[in-house]
Amino acid sequence: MVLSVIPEPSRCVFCFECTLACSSSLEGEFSPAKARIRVLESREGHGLPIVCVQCPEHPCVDACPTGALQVEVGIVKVDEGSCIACGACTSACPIGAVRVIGGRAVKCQVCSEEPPCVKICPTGALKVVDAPDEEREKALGLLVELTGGGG
Amino acid sequence: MYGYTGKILWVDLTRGKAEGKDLNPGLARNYLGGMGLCMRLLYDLTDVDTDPLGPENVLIFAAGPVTGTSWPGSGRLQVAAKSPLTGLAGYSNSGGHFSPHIKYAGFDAIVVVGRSEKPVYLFVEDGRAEIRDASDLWGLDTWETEDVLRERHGEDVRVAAIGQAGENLVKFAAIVTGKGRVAARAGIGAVMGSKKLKAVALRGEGGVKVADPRGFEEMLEEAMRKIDGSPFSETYRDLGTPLLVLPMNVIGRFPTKNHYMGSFERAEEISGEKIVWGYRVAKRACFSCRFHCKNILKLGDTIGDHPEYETICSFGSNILIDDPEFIIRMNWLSNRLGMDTISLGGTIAWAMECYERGLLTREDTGGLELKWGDRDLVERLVRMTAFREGFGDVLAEGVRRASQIIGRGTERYAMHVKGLEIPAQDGRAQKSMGLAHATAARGADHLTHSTFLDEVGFEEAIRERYGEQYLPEMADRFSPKYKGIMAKDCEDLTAAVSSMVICVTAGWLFPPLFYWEDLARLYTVVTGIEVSVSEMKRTAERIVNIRRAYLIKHGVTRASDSLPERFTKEPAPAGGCKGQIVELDQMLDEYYEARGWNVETGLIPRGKLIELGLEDVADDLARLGRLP
Ligand code: SF4
Ligand code: SF4
Repeated sequence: MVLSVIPEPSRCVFCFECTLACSSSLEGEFSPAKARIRVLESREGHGLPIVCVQCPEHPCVDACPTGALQVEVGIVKVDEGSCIACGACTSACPIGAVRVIGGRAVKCQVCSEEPPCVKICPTGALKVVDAPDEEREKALGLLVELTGGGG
Repeated sequence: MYGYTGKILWVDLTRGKAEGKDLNPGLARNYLGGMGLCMRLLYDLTDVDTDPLGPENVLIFAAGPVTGTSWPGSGRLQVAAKSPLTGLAGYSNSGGHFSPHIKYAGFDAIVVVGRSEKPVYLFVEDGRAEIRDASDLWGLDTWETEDVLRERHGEDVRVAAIGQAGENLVKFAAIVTGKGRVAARAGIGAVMGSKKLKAVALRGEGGVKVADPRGFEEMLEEAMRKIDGSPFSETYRDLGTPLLVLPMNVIGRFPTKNHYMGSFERAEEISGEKIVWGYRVAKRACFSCRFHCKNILKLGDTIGDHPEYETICSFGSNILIDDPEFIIRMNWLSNRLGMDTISLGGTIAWAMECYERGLLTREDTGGLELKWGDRDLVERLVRMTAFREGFGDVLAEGVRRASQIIGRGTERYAMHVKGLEIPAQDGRAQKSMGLAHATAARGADHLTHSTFLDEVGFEEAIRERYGEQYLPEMADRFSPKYKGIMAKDCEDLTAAVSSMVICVTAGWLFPPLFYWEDLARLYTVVTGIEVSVSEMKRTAERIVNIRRAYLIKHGVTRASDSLPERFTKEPAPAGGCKGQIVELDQMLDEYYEARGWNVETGLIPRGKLIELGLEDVADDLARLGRLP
């Protein structure tokens, strides 16, 4: 079981509140570009929140040439000191949930059991769940499918 | 600076130059941003001899200090220019996702002057701006334009564009953001077209910092609780403004047959429930809004925004059409071509009434028979208007000018104030709306004053805001009493909220959850500029008064604050407000009184302008002989 933020895209209304809560809490400013969660538009008209679901495969960890990404209790964490901002992790992630911003890789490391993004979401499109491997795999599969595999 | 980015992007299309300049902190404090900033700049940069479609007009896209934060409803855009439809102050406000990206791209506002020789678009990214060739975009509709620019600049680029109507200088052309959120009123899309500016595309990785994050967080949590707990949130979140169709029809406020009456016998067919529930594929929010009052509908292979209440009237009751799919399609068509559905619908309704009365004939229309409820005809007229083909060239002038061109008494059926077509409120059913239409600076409008408190009887809010002594009359939609007092306060609050820029229907004017104390505190925690409730109120009044002063310069007086006789002399023939008229004079007296304006003339006394720190404006008006 791993604590992770799991989106339910069909409920997402494309309001970007999660990105604002995330960036203000972690970067001290409201900036969707700096959030650990992104919101795209689905072909069906609803929003598409993209966030790391802490998938059990974590290809990002394997792709990192410096070992800057490590798994701690199932959560993939970034050691900013070792990150050389090469972007290998971004390319490796099937939904682009790791991004290089301001010279270092950033990703959702699940702030708490009640993180700002989940708290602010008006529709329950984001949940924080202590989830088994299958559930996180399924969540990733859905996001891959909805983004057309490209992130 | 906190809240603000501290920069304004100045674009001169004649010289092909775009550069960022510092935002004057005094301007920010005295006019806040959004509406306030727009009205001060419009006053300073244009004058009585400015041709609205000439290069000397300005076009302003303004965000505000709260834009780009997570405050609910703070994603709104304020646009302004001198209006080609009214020749007065033109302003228009839209939702969507464009405005916050002005700030993320590094600016509080974009001010466009001049005129390009060739079609161009403006691309703004992270503090830089480029004027680019738009020859390949000219002639495309707004949806196509958006698609091309997103393909070219990336999916996260945000676009505001004009359609063919703006290119063809249709007097009520709109600026469309994100395909469906529209700054529609007062013909600002024609101003953009006159400048040969096809679109503005934005992308920014910047952010907005607030001065007191903890204070902001506390206010936000309380606001979230209030919004989620409001009894009005549930239906509003579900249906958005289309929810109004049935209740407004019951009270006789749903314009029918060119505003002849306010109840439509087939309203059930075009109710918000029918339209939204019948075709919805997704819920949708404007940027940073937990009300998420928008819906995405699907018809055939097309998906797009729901028609708002206003549009349901324009393409429904007001021209006697009861077909929800037709209304959805006409909304999309108007958005693609880029036209204000209120003005467009009002102009078509006028033509239909005049045709029925024999004042317009097939000779005027190029052989077309303008029969009420004829859907094919309406669709043709919409296209003909956007391209100014045949009789569409007359309609494209808007109802005031069109009726002057035709003459023969058709002016009597032109439902407008100051040249702007009347929106979907029958003032005979809700008196405060009659006053709002008559006095709004941009012409007939409900959202300059946003007097919603007598709509469904918000007695509690009235008691809290104004006091027991105004009940029951202020809450009674048929009573003209105290409506001037209410309209003054609601107009001030709307002006300040639209300067932040926050949506008026995200808990400020509807539902009435937040008030002056909240606004002053919000401004303070966001900007770090300590502002009291009394200063905030005074600032709001300053904004309203400079907007009025601009009108006064152009010759507006009490006589201009009028309504078509249909509302003041013809008692409603049937429906929920049967027998009612708008008692305008009585309300005007009270309104001017509450404003401290001269009751006989509607002019602003020097003392009032001085009190608001508008000495320069007082001097201008004195020079023109327009002080009372
Ligand atoms: S859990 Fe924290 S880091 Fe992850 S998306 Fe939410 S706010 Fe951002
Ligand atoms: S806060 Fe919720 S509804 Fe809004 S964009 Fe994020 S996931 Fe979607």
